[in-house]
Amino acid sequence: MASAQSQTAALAATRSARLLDLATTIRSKNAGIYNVTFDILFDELDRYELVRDAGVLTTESVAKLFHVSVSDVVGVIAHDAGQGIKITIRRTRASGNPGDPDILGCQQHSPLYDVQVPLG
Amino acid sequence: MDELRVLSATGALGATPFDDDSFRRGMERRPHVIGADAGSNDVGPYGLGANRCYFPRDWVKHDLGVMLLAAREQGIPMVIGSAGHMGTDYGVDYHTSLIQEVARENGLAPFCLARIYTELSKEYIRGELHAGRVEALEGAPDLTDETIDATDHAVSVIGVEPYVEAFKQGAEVVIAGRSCDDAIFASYPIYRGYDRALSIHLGKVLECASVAATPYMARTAMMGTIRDDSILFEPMHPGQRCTPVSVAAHSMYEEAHPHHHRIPGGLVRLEQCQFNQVDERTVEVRGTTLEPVDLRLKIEGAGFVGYRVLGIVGVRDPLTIANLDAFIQFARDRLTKRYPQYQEGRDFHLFTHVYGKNAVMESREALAGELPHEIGILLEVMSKDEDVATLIARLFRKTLMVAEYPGQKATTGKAAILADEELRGMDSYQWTMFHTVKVDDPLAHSRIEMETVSGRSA
Repeated sequence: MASAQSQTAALAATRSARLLDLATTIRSKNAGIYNVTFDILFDELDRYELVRDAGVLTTESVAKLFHVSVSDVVGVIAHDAGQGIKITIRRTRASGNPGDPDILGCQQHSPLYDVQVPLG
Repeated sequence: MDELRVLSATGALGATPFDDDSFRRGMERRPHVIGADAGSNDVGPYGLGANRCYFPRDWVKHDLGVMLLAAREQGIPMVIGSAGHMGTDYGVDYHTSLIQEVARENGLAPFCLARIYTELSKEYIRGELHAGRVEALEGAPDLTDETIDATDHAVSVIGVEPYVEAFKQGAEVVIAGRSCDDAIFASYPIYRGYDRALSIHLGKVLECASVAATPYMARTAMMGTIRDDSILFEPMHPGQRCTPVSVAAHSMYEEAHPHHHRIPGGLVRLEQCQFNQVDERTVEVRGTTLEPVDLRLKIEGAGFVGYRVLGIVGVRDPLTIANLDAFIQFARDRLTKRYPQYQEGRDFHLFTHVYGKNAVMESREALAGELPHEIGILLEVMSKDEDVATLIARLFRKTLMVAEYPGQKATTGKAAILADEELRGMDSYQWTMFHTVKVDDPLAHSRIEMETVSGRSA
């Protein structure tokens, strides 16, 4: 825990951090056959609150990040008890329908790594 | 009874053999019921459409067998949902036949088994569609007569009620068709009179076994305990523990919304939940609520698209990679010219998955403009006529090997190959139904058949 706090302090010396360096888990998965959902989970409460309150994950920013229309963003929801942020977007096509290159939807999360979160 | 203990053996029965040690540790704790979820819609429409369980028989039999012997030894019920992976009638019969086989091989004393079938006929669904009782789930297109015609198999996704009915009729082993994951574990506590909302929340966490514990381990068992006003979770592998965050975060898993969970006739709400660490490895949850909503049962359907043929080629030439669109278009044009009678979308489907360049994320790729030094092209062709699929895949692949584009320097072969071959893939299916049907009775989509299974000759 001490090392996590000092890491957070070290990060604060810079003006922003990548989501990759703040979150414990960043993952994507199907939620039903028509949605892909992203979970961004944090071990440290302060990092979760930092990202939750930073305003960098919104319906609009998510639409831009994944090159989809705002209407294809189903939701961006903070989950305090789970110390996580959930993002859900429509799939390009139903899971496993002809041509689907990622049936489980588990390799759609990488653009989230590079989201810049302002510190302090 | 002060509490009821529910042991979840594995998150995916038969997908890989489960961890025997953590399951046995769970059995030593004297659970009141054991269960496992055998199915999912997660791997696409193939299993449902083709009506096949493609998990190795040996693994399915291992998981069912270890559970059955343990359950019969302690005289407790055993519950399997979404049998055979997609929960068709065939899946229920397949699992039941393995149960009978294990009973015979081990000379088990007679026990009462319930098969719960949930497959639906196209005629029934057509009737409900015309009666205005079918609705599309979010994201799905409206159901039409054409999509019903294009369906090979359809199942209803049942809630707890058919399971509770089977217990009322004396079932000691339940093998059910397609089910809400939570119902597999929630049904026995509900049958025994425990709170409905907490029972469903218990089932929701247990359906993936130890996935709600930390660190992640594959196929280890998880114990859930329900009391009057709380539920508790403890992983059965000594190297894992539950934390408030690990259990709370699991309510987000594979859900579009972290606080809401739909069941037939109800909306489970998690906003008011409290998650407390009660000892090093155990978390207690309180405060789950359940709101009644219209009684609708979800249905899933899938239908045949075509036989599937694959081809693989590699490209290293930077000029080809820089002219990739022209390179692939050359092969498409050649195909259209040679076989004008075969229309794409009607007679066949063709996909070029360019690995190394946007194959996985397609239009959603953030780095779409970057040119790699090497790519692999996976060609995927489907047609209801197997010869047409093979012919098109071969012509397209062979044409890629000699395709032309402006500014080319190399004039031998344009694509590297492992062998001069096409590969026959699994048949292609598509989802045809992801809808709900309004019903008056939660048992409307299920048929329960009771039988006595005995491993001893009469």
